[in-house]
Amino acid sequence: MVSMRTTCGFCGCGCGLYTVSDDNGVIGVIPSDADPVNEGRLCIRGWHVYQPLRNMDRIFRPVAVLNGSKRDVDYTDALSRVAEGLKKFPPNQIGIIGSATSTNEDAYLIAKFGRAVIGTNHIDFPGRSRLMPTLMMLRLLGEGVSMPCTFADLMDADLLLCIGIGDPNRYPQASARIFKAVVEGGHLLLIDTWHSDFAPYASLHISPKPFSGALLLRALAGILDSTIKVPFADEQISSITGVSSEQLRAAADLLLSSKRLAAVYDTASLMHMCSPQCVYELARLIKVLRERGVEWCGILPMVERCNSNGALRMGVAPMLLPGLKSVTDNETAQKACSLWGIDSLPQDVGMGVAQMLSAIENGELKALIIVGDDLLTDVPDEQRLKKVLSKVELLIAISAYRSLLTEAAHFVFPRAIWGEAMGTFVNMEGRMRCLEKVAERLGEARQEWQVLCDIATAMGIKLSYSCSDEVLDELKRLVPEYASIEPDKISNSACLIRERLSHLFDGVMHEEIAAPELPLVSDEFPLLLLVERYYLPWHADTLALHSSTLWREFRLRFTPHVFVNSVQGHSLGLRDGMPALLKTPQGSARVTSVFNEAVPTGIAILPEMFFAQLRGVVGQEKFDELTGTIVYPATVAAMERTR
Amino acid sequence: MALLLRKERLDDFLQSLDGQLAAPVRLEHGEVHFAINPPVEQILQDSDYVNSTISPVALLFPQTEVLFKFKLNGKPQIELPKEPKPLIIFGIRSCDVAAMRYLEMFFSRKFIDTPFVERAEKTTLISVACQRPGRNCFCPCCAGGPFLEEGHDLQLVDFGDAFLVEVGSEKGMRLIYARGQFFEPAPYELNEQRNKLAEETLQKFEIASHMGTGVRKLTSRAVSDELWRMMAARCIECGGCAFVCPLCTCFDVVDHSLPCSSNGVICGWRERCWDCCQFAGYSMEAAGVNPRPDKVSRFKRRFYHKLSYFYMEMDGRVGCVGCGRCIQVCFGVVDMPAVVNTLREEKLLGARLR
Ligand code: SF4
Ligand code: SF4
Repeated sequence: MVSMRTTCGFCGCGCGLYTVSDDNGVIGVIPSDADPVNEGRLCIRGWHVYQPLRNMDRIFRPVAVLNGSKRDVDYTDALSRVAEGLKKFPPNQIGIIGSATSTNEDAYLIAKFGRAVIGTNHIDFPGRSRLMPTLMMLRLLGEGVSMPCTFADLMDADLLLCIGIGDPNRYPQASARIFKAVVEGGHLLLIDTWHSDFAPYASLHISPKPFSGALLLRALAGILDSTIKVPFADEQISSITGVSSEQLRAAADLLLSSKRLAAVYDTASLMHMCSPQCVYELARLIKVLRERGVEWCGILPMVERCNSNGALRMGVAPMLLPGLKSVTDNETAQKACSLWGIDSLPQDVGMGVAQMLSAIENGELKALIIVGDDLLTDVPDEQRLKKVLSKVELLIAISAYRSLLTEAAHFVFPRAIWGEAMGTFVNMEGRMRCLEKVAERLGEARQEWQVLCDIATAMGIKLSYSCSDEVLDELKRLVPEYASIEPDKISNSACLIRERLSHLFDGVMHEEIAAPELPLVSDEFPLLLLVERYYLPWHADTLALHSSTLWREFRLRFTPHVFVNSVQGHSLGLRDGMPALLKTPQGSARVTSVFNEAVPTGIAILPEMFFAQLRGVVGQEKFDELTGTIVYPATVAAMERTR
Repeated sequence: MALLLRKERLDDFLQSLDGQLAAPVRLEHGEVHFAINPPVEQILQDSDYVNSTISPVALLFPQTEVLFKFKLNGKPQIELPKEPKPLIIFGIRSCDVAAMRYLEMFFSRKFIDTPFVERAEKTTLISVACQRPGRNCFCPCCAGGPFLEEGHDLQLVDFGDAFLVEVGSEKGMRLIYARGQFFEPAPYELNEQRNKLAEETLQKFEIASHMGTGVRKLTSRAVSDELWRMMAARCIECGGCAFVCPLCTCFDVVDHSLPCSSNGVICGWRERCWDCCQFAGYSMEAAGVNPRPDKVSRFKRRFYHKLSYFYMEMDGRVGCVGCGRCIQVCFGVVDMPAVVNTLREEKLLGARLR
């Protein structure tokens, strides 16, 4: 029996754990109770993070399409064919889509390969755009605000302001602190449309109507500082947000009573804080509070995937070099050139995921490298994704599991999964975490940094490292802010990444603010149907689906569910867990009605994971070009019981 | 019969034992784990540690365990795991000894669980009585410690430069007989001092969990739905409480197979892994009906199983030994003592007695 220290590879908390192995491989995990992140706790995913290592349903060997048929090929053969293929396209016709599950070392190599080997800035990862408003916030805030703050900081605050954080299950280690704080007598101000399991423990719970969060925050700032313009009268605000003036006052008073305030929000919630406007308004509110005497303020933006924070910081973004430096930042570009041994870097901002997909559709982008399977979640429209991918002239996938991505690919390289890969992550606190190789790799699986180095070498550009530590060393030389980071110092500040941004966004706060436009309910369609991320985003995680226990838990929720609260459900004649007919002006579909007390009356929630199945009745999603995020439709609906 | 083992002889004694030795060691960041055959100088002595993150009962009932390997090629071929080797667990705490004895009873009650029972037969427990309980320990409330009167094979009581050795079973007796050279008779007064130490240790506990009151409240169904709802709200269904609980026995069984080889032979294995009654999929029946579809009912059921009189009668004890591990793992402060004391006070916040 051997135990090895590593980090869970599922969510942005980044919990420390030990794997336990015997002759039969990795057989379990032990949470680390000395770790400041999780203090001995693991959520259901962490307890089962070893299980995918025991699952043999994997891609073992490189696969290539040769003369129209797909077959296993020799590794070096695959490399030379890929190298030859890539050389045929000019750099601006090649794109790379990375993954938020890549280690920092892998992500750094994705950024470097794209820029130094291919010469393109069309580099991005799905979900990146949801973090951009948070970067803006980082730019806007001044001294005395700690962002991201740590989990421990949450316990030191006298008031927790939690905005749109949803179910306690989504961000377990943050939830643990929130619950501990309230049990020990702390105060929670919850601003969330959901009546989640946090609600009964809140000193004050405000449930704004969907999408009215930004206006609500503006109104709060307006109460605290009369020079802030609120373009609506009090009664209008109440009717738009569904929050009374008294409640707003009470919230303002609670905020003013605080000396140490910690604000927590969900960067992936679809109803609240993902919109840039909401984040501007939160930044504004925090500024006002600092002026009104709140002595210390911490902000914790919660991120869903294990290394979204790292991928962004390593430069897997069309406008960013490693260290959150802009691609137009000459100093960093020059440094990168000399370190990477090249003459120049592409200077124009590249395309993000959404634009890359459109560019493939209209023939501007012709070759694509995809790492991992995050794209499956970010583009819930399977049909469209298939169609887009079929247009790519050279599609290279680095993936552990078969999916429609590998189905469409001309070349597939097997990817090392959690436990086989090593390197570092950056969790939501900005803490560097170490990921250890705890199991032998299956077949010819490699980490993406290794595959990319091999491809570069096959292209005649020498790129090689002896191990992932060497990659990290190079990063430290490139980005001075990271030079003193020591990932294995788990509990001191030597493992915390903190940047100050001086560029990137103009930092101007938008003054205009509008009321959300939502369809009106009627007697025929009494419900407002919205798409929201519910519970754990398991559907997003092919790794989780290869754990036997997590797969079992997921299957439970595998039919399309629509949530309503039980009072509403009974009044509509529905029964919990029973078939129902969902009707909208666009059509009707069979679903399962599930009672969930977190849903406010008048609203029905379609978990995002089922959206693709019900697109026909719910409506078409849109890509917001400006932010690069998906905007789901909101529609009116009715539900009735069926047999 | 009581004996004395001088501390300078402990290493030699441990090295003289046959079979594998499991003993507590401290890892780089401070956690305590049981390691197999660790270097003797790394083995923790009584006052160096409170308890391991995971109970050493996991050595006999691991999180995942291969039950057999199979090969399907015409006639199925089954390969059973190798016979277990003798195992000595040194440094196991009293609560975990109590848990082990419960598991032995449970796994050989109606249905004999061969993998566990075979290992248990070959396992010897050398426990060390606790004199410095941890901040999460509450074993006196659950007949789980801190000193054992029964259940151990050998129990060591730390007296500074020597251990008082108490023999609790035939297995323990045999171990000593074969190694008489390490022991000397203990002076009679030590027994009295030992009892005094046990008494003094009882004063050192920081928390209490009034299990009797909990059992009474549950059995008489005196707990309001509202209280259950409020407590369950803080459970995030991580399963941690069941996984670290040394008395929890549930498991799930899955088959894995390797990709089919070119000659059509299928190779694979069947394994079992820990399961938890707090998971939604756990109580799912084959037909797709779930008798406990919501978190509140699963949460309630968990405590009924551990605490109600009905189960006490069946299992012979409350389903808790007071090791305190659930306190460490729980996300919502709804661990055993927090729940029991909430039931007792019938109110919510600040429920833990300090
Ligand atoms: S909270 Fe996140 S990092 Fe921790 S165990 Fe759960 S999924 Fe893994
Ligand atoms: S440890 Fe706590 S949060 Fe986890 S399942 Fe048990 S009661 Fe729920």
